Amino acid sequence: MSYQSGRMGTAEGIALVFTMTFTTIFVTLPAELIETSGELGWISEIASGLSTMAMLFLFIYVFERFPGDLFYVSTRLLGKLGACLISIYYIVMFFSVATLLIRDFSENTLFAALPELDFHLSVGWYALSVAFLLYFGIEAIARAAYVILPFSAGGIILAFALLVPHYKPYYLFPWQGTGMTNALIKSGVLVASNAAAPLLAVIAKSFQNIRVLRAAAIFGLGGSMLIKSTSILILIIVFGPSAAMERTLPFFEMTRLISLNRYIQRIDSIFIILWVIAGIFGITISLYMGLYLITRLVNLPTMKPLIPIVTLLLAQIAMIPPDASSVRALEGILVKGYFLIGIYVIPLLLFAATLLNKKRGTKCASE
Amino acid sequence: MRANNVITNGYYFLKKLLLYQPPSDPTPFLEAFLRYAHRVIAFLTKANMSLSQGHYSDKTKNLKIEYQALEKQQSELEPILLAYQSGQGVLGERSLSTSLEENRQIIESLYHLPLNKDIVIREIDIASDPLVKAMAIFIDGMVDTKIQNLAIFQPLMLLGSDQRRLYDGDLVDNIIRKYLPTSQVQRAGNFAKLQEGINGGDTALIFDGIAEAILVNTKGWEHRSIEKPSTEPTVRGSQSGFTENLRTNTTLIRTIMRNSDLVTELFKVGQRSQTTVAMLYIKSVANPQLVAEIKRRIQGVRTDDLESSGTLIQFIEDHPLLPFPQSLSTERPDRVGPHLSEGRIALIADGNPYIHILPVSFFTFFHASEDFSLPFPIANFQRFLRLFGTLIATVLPSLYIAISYFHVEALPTQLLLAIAGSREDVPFPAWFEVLIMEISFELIREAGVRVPGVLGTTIGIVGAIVLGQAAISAHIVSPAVVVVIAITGLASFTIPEYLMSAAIRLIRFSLLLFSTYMGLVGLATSLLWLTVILCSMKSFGMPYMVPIAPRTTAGFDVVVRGPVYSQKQRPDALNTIDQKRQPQISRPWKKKQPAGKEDEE
Repeated sequence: MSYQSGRMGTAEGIALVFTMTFTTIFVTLPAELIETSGELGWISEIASGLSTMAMLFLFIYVFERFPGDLFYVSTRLLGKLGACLISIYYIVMFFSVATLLIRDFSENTLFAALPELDFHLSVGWYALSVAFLLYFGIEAIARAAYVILPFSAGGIILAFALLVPHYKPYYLFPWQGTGMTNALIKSGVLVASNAAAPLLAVIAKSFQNIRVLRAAAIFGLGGSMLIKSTSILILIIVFGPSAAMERTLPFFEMTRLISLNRYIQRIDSIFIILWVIAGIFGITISLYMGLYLITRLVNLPTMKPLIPIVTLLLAQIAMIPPDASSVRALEGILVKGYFLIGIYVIPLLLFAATLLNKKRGTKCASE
Repeated sequence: MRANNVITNGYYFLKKLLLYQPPSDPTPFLEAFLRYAHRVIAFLTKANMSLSQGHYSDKTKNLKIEYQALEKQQSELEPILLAYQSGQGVLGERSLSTSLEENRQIIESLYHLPLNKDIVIREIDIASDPLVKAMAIFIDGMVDTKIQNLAIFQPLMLLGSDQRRLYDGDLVDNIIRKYLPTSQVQRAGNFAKLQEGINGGDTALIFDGIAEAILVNTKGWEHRSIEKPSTEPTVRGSQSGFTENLRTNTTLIRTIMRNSDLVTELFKVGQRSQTTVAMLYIKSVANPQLVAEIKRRIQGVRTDDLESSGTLIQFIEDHPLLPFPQSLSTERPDRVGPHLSEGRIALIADGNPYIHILPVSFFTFFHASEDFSLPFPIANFQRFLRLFGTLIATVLPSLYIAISYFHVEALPTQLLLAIAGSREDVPFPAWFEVLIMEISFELIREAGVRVPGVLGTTIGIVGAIVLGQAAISAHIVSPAVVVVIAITGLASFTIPEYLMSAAIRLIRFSLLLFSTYMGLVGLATSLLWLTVILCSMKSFGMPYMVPIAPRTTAGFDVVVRGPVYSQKQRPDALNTIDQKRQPQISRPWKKKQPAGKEDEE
């Protein structure tokens, strides 16, 4: 088809990481952070972003020495069994993220955009959209994410700017909230908003070089960290911490407040375009990562036949929890437990194995 | 008797496959030819013996009678051979014969003479010693008779003399070198090449006793002269447009790009139409891989007939199922020139005034021809206006439907009341109103294009005003919908490229469908799909959304147009041989003393 082959560059890398990690500002996560860290919620977000970034740099250290994707590198460092276990872990993790996002955004759609829509249709809509996009492959998805990125970031910043009349900076006081130590400790646990950041490791081979990975980690994760932290800060100074933690869809409710004059008022619906796009992107990318790992694990030539089956399966799973609160409970279990392995344990494990390998290599060379 | 088992059967099958075995029962046609061949051999042996014995007077008479009998038999067999060969479909692939009569019969058979009335076979005698019998074959109407008379018939028939000996040496070479005062001649050894020349307006000359023909360039059919481009008007810039004649078009490009590196490669596409396709590129700039790829695709087209350059593009483009154009079509030579110098390729099909430029990016379709002549702030303003127009043309009706159906709270109360008031008497849902108006608009547009001349524009304007007014008065549609559709229609005309405009119109309908059922959620989803589709597309191997996705160096004239002196690089995505468009300092005069300064000193 093409006479020139291409690999993903810095722009695509940044867009993928940013899109995957900033999506959580459209769900309840900011409210949950405020609940745990109070007025220091925004600091928690920064700390959580920085700790994830540090873990990503551990991955990058590993990939600098062993070029390839996660499956290949894990096989080299931990053997076939270790690679299988890591792959299965991440498959479950990415599919969980995708399932939770399907459910969250379907609920959002019912709550904020189409209240009369059937719940199954809402879930089905997201599943269908995602399945269609997956057929175009990660390169097209990443490029589209990059095209949309300025509009997404610009839209959010615009919303923050239009909320200026509602800012009450004194809501930030007492500024230490539930305490700095508590905020920092909780930030380590509440890294769920960055759970999908290891995608850089999963498809490391698809990027041009290690510099791309580094730039994606710094600017992609850094950008989303800033946006999320600002969003929490503004949520606090608009609603106050006690009211903010009760908001189910904080971003949507913030945009609902925008009222500059009789022409610019109640423009929350305009932002529907923004969060629907972000949601679909988030689900698509997580699903792609899971499918990619399956194809690598069982050595399949293509993932295309898996797309409809897996999407349908995840859509069905997303419909199982009876209500939003049970989804929150499930999310809590995953965030505080399962996702931590992918963010902290596996990068550390691979890093240690690399060091060990390096030491052994040096020893051999000296011998 | 052979044993009937697998091994024996396999052995005989392989033997049959690999070894030639003469047919056990040759056809009567072959028998006749074999008999004739035997007679010729016998005659030659007899003649040889007689001549070597020296009894000329006795045997010559008998040999003469025998020779005449052989000639008669040959003339009887020739039609059978021709009929057999034409039945086999190999007549066109045959080499020319030394017999003028045989060549004539083959040509008559190839061109279905005397049924075919515009093929002319003109027999001539060329004065020489001995006399040269020849014939000229051409298609009436495709040749310039003046050139033909002056450059072929006059020198061969009138200016010859009995003293010249054309058969001495190479007759074809003699005639080409001494007696054909014309710029282009070719030698043809087979009927395929002969047909190609005749069908292309050449006059073919065949001579008795020579198995070769001369094709003299006498092309001279009627064609439209260079006129103003009808679909790409411009405020500034050149006013000449391409025509249907390939050579005129290549010349127009050459007058703009006077460069010895500009290469024009020709191909024949279409087994029956044999349409000439020209591929133009600057050899020292264009990516050789791209050139090779386009050549490979053109040569790989198998079809009977190539209607236009647009058909060719559909055969060779990357995504023929998507509505978005993957090459830029233009009828302006001044648009082709800059694209060639950027490293792109131009394709011209004979008989079509639209030249296709490739590969292109999505943003190329929002460039107008006068952009090159305008100061960059004005050019950029117009480009952004066009992009804004495209956005409006794509989403406005769907946005109206989504908001008025599902998200009315986004509208200011007074506007909402005004819309609700205007819709009060309309019995149809808003989506149906929009659909009626969209279809009406499309009908008016299509009718305006099809109705000839000034009448088309009149019908367009009158149709729109009358229909719009009548539809409001009859309470079929609300005034708000008319305004929305009018703005959408107007915005769609800001897209300079017709094909892109058509694609946007088509996309608009699907967006409308999505937003009717899912409001802004549907609109967002469809916009996202559209973006991903666009990002997955390639124009002849080059990503369609460059320089944004993937991010490449644009060369300062893809999305935003910089000042001319800052356009130092060619677009990175084209992977040109020479990346530099102009030196780092393109205005060295800025560094020198102003001319007036000398006076001051």
